[in-house]
Amino acid sequence: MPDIFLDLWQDLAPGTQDALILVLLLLPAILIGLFVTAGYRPLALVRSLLWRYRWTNLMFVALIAVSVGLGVGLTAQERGLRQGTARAAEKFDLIVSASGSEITMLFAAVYLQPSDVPLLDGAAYDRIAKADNVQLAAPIAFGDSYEGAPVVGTTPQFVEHLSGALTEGRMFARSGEAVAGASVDLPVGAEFVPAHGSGEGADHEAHAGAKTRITGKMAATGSPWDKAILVPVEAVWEVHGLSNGHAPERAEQIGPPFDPEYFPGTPAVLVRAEALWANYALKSEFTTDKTMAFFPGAVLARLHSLMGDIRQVMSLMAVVTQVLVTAGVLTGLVVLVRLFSRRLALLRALGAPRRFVFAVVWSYAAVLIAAGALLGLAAGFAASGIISAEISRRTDILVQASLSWPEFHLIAGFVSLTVFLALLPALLSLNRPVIPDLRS
Amino acid sequence: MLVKFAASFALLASLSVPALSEDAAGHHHHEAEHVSELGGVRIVHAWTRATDGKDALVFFELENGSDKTVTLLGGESEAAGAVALVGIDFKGGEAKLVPLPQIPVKPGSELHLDPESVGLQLSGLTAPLHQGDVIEVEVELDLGHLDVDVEVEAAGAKGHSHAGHSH
Repeated sequence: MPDIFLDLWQDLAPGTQDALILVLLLLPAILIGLFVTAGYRPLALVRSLLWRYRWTNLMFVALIAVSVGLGVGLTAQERGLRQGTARAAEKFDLIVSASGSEITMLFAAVYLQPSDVPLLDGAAYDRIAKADNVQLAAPIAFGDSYEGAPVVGTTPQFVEHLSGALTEGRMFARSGEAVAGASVDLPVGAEFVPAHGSGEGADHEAHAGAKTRITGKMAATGSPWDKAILVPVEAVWEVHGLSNGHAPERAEQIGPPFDPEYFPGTPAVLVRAEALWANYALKSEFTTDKTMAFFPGAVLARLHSLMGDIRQVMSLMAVVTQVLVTAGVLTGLVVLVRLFSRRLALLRALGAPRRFVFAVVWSYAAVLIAAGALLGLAAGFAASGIISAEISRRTDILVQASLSWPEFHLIAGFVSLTVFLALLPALLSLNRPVIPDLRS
Repeated sequence: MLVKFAASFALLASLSVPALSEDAAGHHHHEAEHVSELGGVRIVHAWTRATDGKDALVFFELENGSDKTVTLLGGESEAAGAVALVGIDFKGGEAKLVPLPQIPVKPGSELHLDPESVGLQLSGLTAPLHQGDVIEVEVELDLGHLDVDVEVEAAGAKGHSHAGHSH
């Protein structure tokens, strides 16, 4: 029998599964509400209670909202970061480089975080470029910069692969020309001299004389490449005093094919195959003693799973915080109920049934919880949007926070648990003696 | 009387069905062979994860010690309805299984089927896979079929418990 349910469940679309989980999580809260308020209309009294103690109520709602917002913000932020970093790596099918650390190379070649890495020589590049089913084998030669923007040597084919058609100007056609990423602060026609290295230690004089003119602008990619300046790889080799990848009779050529004899080396090669299966064959072919081949997406997934483990711990902490805050708020409610015990006793003396008083106190607590949860959802979303914008600004990786099922599930579970706990202050209010409360 | 009969029948059935299905699934508990070889091509450290579901992914290392390109095509197994070669594509941040027609492996190269790249997908498992079980999978290469003992590791395993050993 459970197998039938399992099969039915697995046949449902993911969206339907999520919606059903949401309903199931909310169901206890709805059932408790229906059960507690059956036959009564406590809302008019609840409204007056909310107004009478509005500042205390506002504080309770704000406390719940902050704790819920923490949990929502955390999960939304983590997902946004995961999707943003994955999107930024999407164009990088397979990276081949000299043996070393995949993570270092991922950061250097995909996210343009400068790193000193060994080079692949001309023979290795030639084998990659001539391998079966290779559609694109583009050198990615990083190391230079201009005012914080990485200057990367590559081929026109790579630029086209990365961002499609240029939004402005034309492709570089010779050494001394460059194409700028969408966020680079240089207009078409501007000239600059790249510095050797990057950051504080960059040598601004090393490439003096290598004046470069911006001839075009790339479309935005949502990745650190938006802040990069792309030049012909030949130019990178030339400014370092090396041969430019082509035999002397073809010295003016830009882009492939390169001559292995005159190929000084490249830190990484982006490889794109004609079909997905061929990528796996190429990975196997170039995983050797001297070369390393990896899928950036897979390395990233490994990092994400690590991040996921941390998220789980943090989510648990956020849930504990939420429950603690709510326990605090409910304790506050118990005290508050004592404050308005005279009114409740009056109700009872006027003939209101005990269950009506119970319904009033529970509904009052439930309204505070629901309002806090909804406000927390909004607060978490807003906070996550602000943090995402800041991360995007700092890393140039487009991070977009959005609310999704996990956040709704978290809140639904929270509401169900806490409205159940809210039965407690309601019960306590019933046990208060009517006559002494009336006299107090 | 009828109820009693039905109850004892159900009890009998519940006792005998798992035993039958285990046989049918080709499960056995003998010491698994870690290496299978055919014409210079070796498959080592074949493993999968324990599961109650209908699908599982099988991983192994294929070493092409022959002097020509060998192509991995797929496989078959009595433990599952179908066996297919799939790529695990991580583009967009989510792992997606993509059917692959083939993967050629050059002479002297190794192809690692692992949870980050490629696997053989068993669909329609005939019985749940428990940690410690061994299932047989016939791996289909262009030069012939190769019987491989696949060890069932824990549900969340990330590699073969024997990986790193040289055979």
